[in-house]
Amino acid sequence: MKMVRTIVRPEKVEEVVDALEKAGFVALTKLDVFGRGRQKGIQVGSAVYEDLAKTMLMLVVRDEDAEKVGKTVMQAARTGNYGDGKIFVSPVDDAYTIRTGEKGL
Amino acid sequence: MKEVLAIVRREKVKAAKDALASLGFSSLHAVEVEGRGKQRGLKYSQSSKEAGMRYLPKKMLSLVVHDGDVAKVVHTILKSSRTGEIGDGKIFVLPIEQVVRVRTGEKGI
Repeated sequence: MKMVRTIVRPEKVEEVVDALEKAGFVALTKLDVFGRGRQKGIQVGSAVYEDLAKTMLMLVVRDEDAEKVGKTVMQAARTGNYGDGKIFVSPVDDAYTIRTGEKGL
Repeated sequence: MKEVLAIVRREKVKAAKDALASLGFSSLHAVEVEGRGKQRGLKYSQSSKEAGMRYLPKKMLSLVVHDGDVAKVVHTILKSSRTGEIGDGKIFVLPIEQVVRVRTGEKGI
């Protein structure tokens, strides 16, 4: 299993969630975050934003689905500008469903 | 070392934290999140109008523990936060490569 963590623009979240749903990936967790990339934030006139508001979507999927998730997110979330975000994939050892106590996705 | 990431109902957080603390697992961090599972959130209809919540508020607890403690921590969270209804949440166990204490620079949990 892999955990796919995607950091995307907040205004792109619904588009991304729709695209993921269409691709068969329904279950996810969403949280609001602030972040910066290599550009160290942005400057608009005299206002300097060191951190920018983004939304992180977390999905845990089977190993073979991680790439499809990444591609789906990138297609839906990309604008081509700085600040589009990043996707991280990390390993997951186990998953449990609390309602049933069962192991596995 | 493993990270136990538990997404639980907000109203079950105290029960889970107390149960974990009574077993000696008091170190954790918590984040407010929103999420959905297979059911795609909640759908309800009121007088022929359909409405719903695409995401439901949950709390994500994270504990980093020794490998040997994972089973106990998982079992404690399962027991204390289950209601048996849809929306109880999920627990993920992830490998942790390194832990460093900011105050002292020591490595390890």
